[in-house]
Amino acid sequence: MSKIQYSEIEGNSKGFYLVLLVLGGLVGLGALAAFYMEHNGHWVTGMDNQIAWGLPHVFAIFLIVAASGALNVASIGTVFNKYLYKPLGRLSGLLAIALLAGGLVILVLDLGRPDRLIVAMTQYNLTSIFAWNILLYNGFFALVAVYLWTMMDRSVGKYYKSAGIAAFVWRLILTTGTGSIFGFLVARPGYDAAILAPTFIILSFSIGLAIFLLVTLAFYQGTNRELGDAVLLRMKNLLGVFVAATLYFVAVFHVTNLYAAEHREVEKFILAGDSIHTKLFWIGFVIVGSLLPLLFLYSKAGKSRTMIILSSLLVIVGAFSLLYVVVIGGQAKPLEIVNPNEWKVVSSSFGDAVDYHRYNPTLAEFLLGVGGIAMALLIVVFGCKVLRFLPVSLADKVVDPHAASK
Amino acid sequence: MKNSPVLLVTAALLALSLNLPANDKPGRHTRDTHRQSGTDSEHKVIDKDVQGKSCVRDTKDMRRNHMKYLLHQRKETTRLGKRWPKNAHKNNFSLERCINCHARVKKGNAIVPVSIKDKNHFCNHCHRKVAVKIDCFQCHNSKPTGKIKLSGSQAPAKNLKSSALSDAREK
Amino acid sequence: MTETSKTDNSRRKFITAGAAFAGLGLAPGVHLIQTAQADTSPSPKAVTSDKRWGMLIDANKCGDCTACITACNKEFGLEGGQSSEGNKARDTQKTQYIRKVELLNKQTGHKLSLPILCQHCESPPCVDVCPTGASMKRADGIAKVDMHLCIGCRYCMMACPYKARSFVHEKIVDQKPYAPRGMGTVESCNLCVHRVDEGRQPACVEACNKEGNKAMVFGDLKDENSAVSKQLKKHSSAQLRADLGLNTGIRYRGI
Repeated sequence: MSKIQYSEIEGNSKGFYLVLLVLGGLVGLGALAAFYMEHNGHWVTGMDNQIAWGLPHVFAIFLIVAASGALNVASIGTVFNKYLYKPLGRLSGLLAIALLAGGLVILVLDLGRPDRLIVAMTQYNLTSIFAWNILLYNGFFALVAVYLWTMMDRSVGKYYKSAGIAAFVWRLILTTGTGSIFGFLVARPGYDAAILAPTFIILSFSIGLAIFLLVTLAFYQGTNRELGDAVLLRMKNLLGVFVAATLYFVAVFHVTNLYAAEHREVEKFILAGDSIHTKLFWIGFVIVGSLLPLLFLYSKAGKSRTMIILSSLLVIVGAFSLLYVVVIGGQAKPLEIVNPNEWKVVSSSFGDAVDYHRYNPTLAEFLLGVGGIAMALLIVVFGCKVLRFLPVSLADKVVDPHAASK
Repeated sequence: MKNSPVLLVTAALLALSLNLPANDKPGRHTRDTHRQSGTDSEHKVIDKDVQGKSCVRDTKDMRRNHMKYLLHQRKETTRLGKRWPKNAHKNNFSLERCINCHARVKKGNAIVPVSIKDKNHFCNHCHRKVAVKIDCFQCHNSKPTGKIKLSGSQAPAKNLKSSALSDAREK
Repeated sequence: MTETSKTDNSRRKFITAGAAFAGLGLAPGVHLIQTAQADTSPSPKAVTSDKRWGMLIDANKCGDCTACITACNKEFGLEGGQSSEGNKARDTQKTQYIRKVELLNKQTGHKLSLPILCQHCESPPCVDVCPTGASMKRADGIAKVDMHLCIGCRYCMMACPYKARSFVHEKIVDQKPYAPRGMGTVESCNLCVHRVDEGRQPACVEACNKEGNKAMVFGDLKDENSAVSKQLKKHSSAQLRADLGLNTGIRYRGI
């Protein structure tokens, strides 16, 4: 590990400033959108009393889940001693912090009273999974920062292993917490399942790695640094495993729910309905987000970088579709306040009688979400510019002399 | 109910209200509550003309501690359900009571309720000056909705029943 | 506690001082309109779990009357799902504390009209999930939102099995002084806590018994002599989503 040389990216080309400009512009648009929403109130969004959590939450949860997944590369290196991954540990930690920050910014700016963030930080109701998540997020920032410090500063290098293990355990708990935000909602048949927590963990593995692959490739192409196949193909294969595992967990979730009579209505709505959720689930998540990437990654052409980039993008699209179905699809069916087998709801002024609640997100919500993603990437670019996060070379002979000699 | 403690307290109230300006540093007292009496008598803030002649605490105390009193009462009322009787004069720090007396200004002979949007709203006199944002009125009504009684000499009796004051609480 | 004793102390000093001044005869000639007689009133007591407020709604009596909804909307200044001029929120974004749900029995064809409001659970999911403790239950069983602490995360809306909560989507002015509500916070039926603390009935119950079909009974579930307890003892009643085991304070007859 000591042989690996790290350096800041040069960051004075036109391309670099263009990237900064675009990302900065998107962050600005996101900020404007947030201000617009907070100034007017949430009536300017597509959210209402039926769909209380909308597109901003899909973006936020996507980024938060991706954040813990992005730390995986570092964890594999530290916790499981895979030296091949160790050179990428720093970028992995930075990306994790940046994605989490981006996700939390969206979440906070979508609050009804973001000016009361101080209340959220000082008043904890410890029976709330949400309150636990706030603690977990803050702890994640702190632990990963320490972890990065042990990677980058020799003088504290002896704590590298323990910091890495702590961060790894913490990130598992964190994603469990994120999944449990939904898993503990007993009243909603679309959520109420403990398997959501492990599903979120495995989902975090796949989107975290997909984003990590894209960011790494972008940096190494953009800065003309050498990136060997040894590490790249290892990660590519791993991505395939994670994608398959996610598909498996989601399948188990739905099959289990189908078995329970009380959840059948919701399952029918998601899996065989005529709403956008059914399309997003089958086309977005299953075909585009899982089967196609698996096909691409394990085909003969899968070793090409174009295929890796394409597959990673598809995995992200798939995960986004899945989260949309989970977050919004889970709220779409009216709550069953009376036994639906016995009673038909004829009418109600509060939407109890509709077949499902429609949700039409507005541009403001979308821009807020995109702004969060842009902010995460901006942090990464800025971090790599000012500190030594990136190895000068990831050529095969540098990262893995054995593989190179083979 | 007219017994001697009542008289004593009444007298005490009165005495305090009369004595306050003398005890306070000159000028300080006039600065905000009466700030505009010289230049803009249209908008003189009513503080002594109504209700019980004096606030629940003396001006100096209120200026320094009103937020603590409000916070204390807020917790007790909202979370514990402790409710002071409406006429518990010195102990009931409800925001509704503050607003009911203070958030009115004189316009000519009439006394009209104003909302926080009005620059002459009582709270604005200091809060705008020191640039401390008030979080109360996102939810609480900043405008009086109850009735007030005006005291003798200052009360423009004919205007008492004017539309401005007849916005009695609908119950 | 310290605050209370300080207050009491100051009152004592105050009375003493007052007596002295009164003796000096400063008072003559000034006309006082409100005496401070109530200054001697005792500290109010916190509500306790000796009481549990609840309600019994007879669905068979309810019919197509909407007196409770009208009364609730008037009491809290709500529009109740109807857009009015100048308001920007869509109908699905309007607050409703109480609503009527019309039901049809699939097998028997029996029709029911059910007023649904916050069920004031003994173990409310909204209180469990609230990150700041804004969602709260008073000792006497009333579930409500402490809007001072609400950050508008809407997790309680996700958790409530009865969809009893609404989010305030737009700016609100001219609130009732006894019922503050504002943009960016969540709100719900609070069983007219301001009325209950004065010994009055919730607005919906009052209206139901005055103008409506007398389908609602309100009272203390822990007092076996209260009207609601007697009724509950006499007739069988049911909770909505009893399977969740939340032990609701609102009970129904005829479902």
